[in-house]
Amino acid sequence: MSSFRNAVKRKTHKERAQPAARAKFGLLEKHKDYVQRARDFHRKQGQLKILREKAAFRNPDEFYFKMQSSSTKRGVHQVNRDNSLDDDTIKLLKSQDMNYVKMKLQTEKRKLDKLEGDLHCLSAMAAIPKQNKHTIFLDSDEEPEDLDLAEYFDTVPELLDQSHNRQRKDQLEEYNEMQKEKERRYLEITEREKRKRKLERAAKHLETERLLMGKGKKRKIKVNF
Amino acid sequence: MKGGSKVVIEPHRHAGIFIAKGKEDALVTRNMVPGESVYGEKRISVDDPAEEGKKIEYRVWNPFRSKIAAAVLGGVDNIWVKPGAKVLYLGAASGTSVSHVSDIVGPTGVVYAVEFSHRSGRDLINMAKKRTNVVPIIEDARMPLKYRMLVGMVDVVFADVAQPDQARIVALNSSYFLKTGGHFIISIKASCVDSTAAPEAVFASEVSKLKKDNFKPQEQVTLEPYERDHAVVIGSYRVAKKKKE
Ligand SMILES: C[S@@+](CC[C@H](N)C(=O)[O-])C[C@H]1O[C@@H](n2cnc3c(N)ncnc32)[C@H](O)[C@@H]1O
Repeated sequence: MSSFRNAVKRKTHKERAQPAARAKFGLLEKHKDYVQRARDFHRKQGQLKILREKAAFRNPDEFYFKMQSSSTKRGVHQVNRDNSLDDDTIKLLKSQDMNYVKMKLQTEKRKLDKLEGDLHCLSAMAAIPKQNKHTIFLDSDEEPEDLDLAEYFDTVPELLDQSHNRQRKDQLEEYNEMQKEKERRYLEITEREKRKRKLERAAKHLETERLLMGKGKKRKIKVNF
Repeated sequence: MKGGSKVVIEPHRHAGIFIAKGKEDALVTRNMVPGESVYGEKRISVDDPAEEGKKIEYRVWNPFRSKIAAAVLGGVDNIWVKPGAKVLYLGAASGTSVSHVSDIVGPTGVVYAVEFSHRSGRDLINMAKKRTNVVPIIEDARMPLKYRMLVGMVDVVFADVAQPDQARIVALNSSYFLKTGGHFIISIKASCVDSTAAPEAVFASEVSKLKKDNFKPQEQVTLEPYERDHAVVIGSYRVAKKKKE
């Protein structure tokens, strides 16, 4: 149903902009802006209400053990530090933490290196924009406009973007030749199949003739034109 | 190795480099020493299509750790490092990239790996023990005369020494070892040359320095997203100014 309703073009209501004469009052608020502003306002009101309620229902006898080790300082909550460890011990522990993190970092780096080592994103590289710059130096009497890149690289124009491996024309030819050779061999199979079938038919025919010439009564069962 | 058969190996534009597709999605080189990882990198073995029951092993080449790999994925036209090539590698560090270059050039090529820090040099030498085509040289690349007896003429000079005078170091080494018409690959870290100037400006000034030293830059790629403010410049050495048409 809804899709049908969507198919019918509905009237679009356009909100007007601030008329030029009233420009001094600033931008005219649109309904969309009003909704945002109102939602924000009501959210804040709701939060204030919750806080007021909490304060009203406060239990003066509330106690947690954590309260013994913490206090407030001008209304701001403070946590008392655990002073059982002296400075030197803490220093030592911190350096041990650091060593552990450093060791983890090392192993992570090594693993990353290893992965990067054999995943070079070669196929992906051709798709993303080139990051490097390739300069070709010409003789002073050559014009850059005359340079045919495909010819310069001895490759086909389609491979110019595949900078990680622009195979040379003769390499591609070799590949094409292999392809042709394969096609030729497939063709040979079908041809030979055909010939085999013909020969089988002929062999059967000859066999019948041989039997016909043998002893016994002969009877026509089918005429082959 | 489990699941090895699910990986498809695609040849890359550059000979000797491949792309493995499957559980991984990675640049790989064919491992010259099957069964060994050099720096803990992943190995992938697949069935040899040429020989039944045989396996070929590839090593994942991490572009985040190797400037050449980053440049290859950045789409350079030619890296000149190819099977059979002789390469002078300046600033080999522990030999992580060198091992892949050694995979690419294969048994018929040679990599002369120069590194002056003894600490990194130790790893380099250990790596070279297993790879017969790597010649480790623990010397300062600023003094090529010290190792001239070890190094023959090379096809490619690669430099990643991360020093402000890198251009000069490369010019010096090339004058001794790089054949006429050979090629250079230089990785430039902008902050190592001039930490105050804009990277683009640093790259341009390095390129003009190279031009003065008989180098003919052909292309330059920056290495994002693998490295920031790095560029790799590739070009040829001592070629005739005019091309014959
Ligand atoms: C950014 S790292 C190379 C990383 C390496 N290419 C890789 O991708 O795995 C730079 C290296 O160059 C080395 N190096 C710096 N100056 C050198 C110099 N003058 N001679 C030889 N090596 C140097 C440093 O010791 C450091 O190991």
